[in-house]
Amino acid sequence: MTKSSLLAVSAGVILTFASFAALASALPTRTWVSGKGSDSGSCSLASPCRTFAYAIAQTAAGGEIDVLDPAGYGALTITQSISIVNDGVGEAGVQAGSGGAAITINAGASDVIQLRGLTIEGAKISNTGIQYNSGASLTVVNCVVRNFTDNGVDIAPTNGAMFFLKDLLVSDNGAIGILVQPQDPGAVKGVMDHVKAINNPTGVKVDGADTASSPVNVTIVNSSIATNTSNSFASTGAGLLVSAASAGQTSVNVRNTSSDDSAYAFQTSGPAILRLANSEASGNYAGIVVDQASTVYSYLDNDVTGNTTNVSGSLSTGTKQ
Amino acid sequence: MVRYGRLSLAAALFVMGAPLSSPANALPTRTWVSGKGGDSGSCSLASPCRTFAYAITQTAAGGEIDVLDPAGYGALTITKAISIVNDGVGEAGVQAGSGADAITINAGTTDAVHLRGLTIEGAKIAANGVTFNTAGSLSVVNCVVRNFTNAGINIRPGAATLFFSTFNISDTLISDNGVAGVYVIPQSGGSPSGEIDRAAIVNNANGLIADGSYSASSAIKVTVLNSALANNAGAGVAATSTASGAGMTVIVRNSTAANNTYGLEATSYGVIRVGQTVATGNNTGVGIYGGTVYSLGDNIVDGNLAKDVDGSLSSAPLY
Repeated sequence: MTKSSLLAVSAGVILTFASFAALASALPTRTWVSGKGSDSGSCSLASPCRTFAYAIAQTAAGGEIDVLDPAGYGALTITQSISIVNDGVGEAGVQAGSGGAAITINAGASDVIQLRGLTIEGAKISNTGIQYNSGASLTVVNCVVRNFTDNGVDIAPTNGAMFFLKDLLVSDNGAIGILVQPQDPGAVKGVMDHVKAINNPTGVKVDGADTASSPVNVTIVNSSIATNTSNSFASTGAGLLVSAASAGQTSVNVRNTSSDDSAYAFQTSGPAILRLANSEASGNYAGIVVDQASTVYSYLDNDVTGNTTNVSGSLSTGTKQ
Repeated sequence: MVRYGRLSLAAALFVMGAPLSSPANALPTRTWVSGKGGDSGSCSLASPCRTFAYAITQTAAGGEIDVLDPAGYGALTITKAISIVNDGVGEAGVQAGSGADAITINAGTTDAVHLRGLTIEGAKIAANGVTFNTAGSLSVVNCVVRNFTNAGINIRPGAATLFFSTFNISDTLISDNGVAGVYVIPQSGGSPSGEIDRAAIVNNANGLIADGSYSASSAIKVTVLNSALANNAGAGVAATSTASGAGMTVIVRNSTAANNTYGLEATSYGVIRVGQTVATGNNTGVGIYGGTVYSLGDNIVDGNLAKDVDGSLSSAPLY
């Protein structure tokens, strides 16, 4: 009797949330992975699975995959709302093979993705750490993304998407630490807080080039961008580069952030807007490089000294309220 | 077939990046250590090894050694790109014997070395916690480095690393070391640049020493951010060089120098630039003795026992 009434209730739930796929509604909202697990069954706590890629297929959209113990859990592609969480049990590693991406996100336009506590490692053979192609929002907290041959984090949504990066170390990648470059007709709003982008040829790049008519707005706070050419005497490579396709399209606000020992600490290209407050640039080839088509607002509280050239171009003065 | 394809790709990479040694190619990119492991085999998850020194020989250049459970994993010398990671499983200890260094870095000039989550302990007998002789970059994240008789972290690159020695120290406690918590002392021609962010450098003989005296015609650049330099017997930050030594700048920003003999001390040709920083409870807050201290005019230097500022501050502009 109880069993059949439960079935009736679940049937009712399925009818109420008709937009859920029938299969997904049958899956648990929490699954588990372990270095001692194996890829079969439903990834329960008692019988965990071995890889993220298998576990996500066993997890309800909107659910979470939790890590039980230290292991490498392999590359995966995410096509649904999901949280992947390592809450301090030890290394939860994600590596990809030669040439691939470790985590690829091809989610739906209303899907939210959270990654927490992962060590995403390229070992100098994989291309990209996190490749964000579509989704409503991506949150990356307390992760490390290192040693990819191309970009560490590549935020390239084709839809209107948001991102939030916090307590994230992105280092030693081959091209750009964090690239924000939405693809047409994508737009992006995002925040980086307590992010360290170090030892990449370019630390952070925000570029509106591929989505000419959509806004790109990024705020960077409490972060440090450093040693991104391994050579402060070099004349290429940037700490932060902001590039726009059309006037007013791309704006980046930076506060309480340092950009040190790279070629160009804060650089604009095209008609971009950069607002710079309470920040610091030193030991660079050039501190602030203002493209004449762009506008860089300074709030007269930045320390920009000890660069070969401190400011190249004209700063505009922002007003504090 | 696939295997041969990979091998030929690897061969092509070798031609392009000549300094890689050939056995590294066949090694896994991730290995494991455990207190229950043994130093044999390939250090897999199922059969972990016991020491960092053995595991590094079983790990591909550019790969990582991961810690499975709490143990002491022993001193080691690093000669290639590597990550050593303890992501919160408990103590991952590194100790060295009397007069020795716990972690010695003699890597290639483009190699990235990454240490995370380690407790590097000198027990008042070992000389240095981390000695950086050569590497492209060193990052020390979320570590504790204590009780060494010389330096906690000893940055001393030489000519081989001219312009290519960078270091980043973050979320790290460096305490109770005999000469300096962080000792940036490049040898002939070495030009280190680096950042210390969210560090607590406390109760050492000196907190940070940047000394350009041994490195003619080169440069030292250190940025200290969001850090505490406190309770050190000598200086919180000491900068010094010579007329023929390294040019230098030490930036101290959004940090606290408290309860040292000197909060910030610039002697000889040492240069410090300080912004949004507090110096208090020191004997002397800022001491300028032949060096230069640039102030951005937004610091609090007050409540020091003998003098707040001994000498003349120079001004630096805000933008």
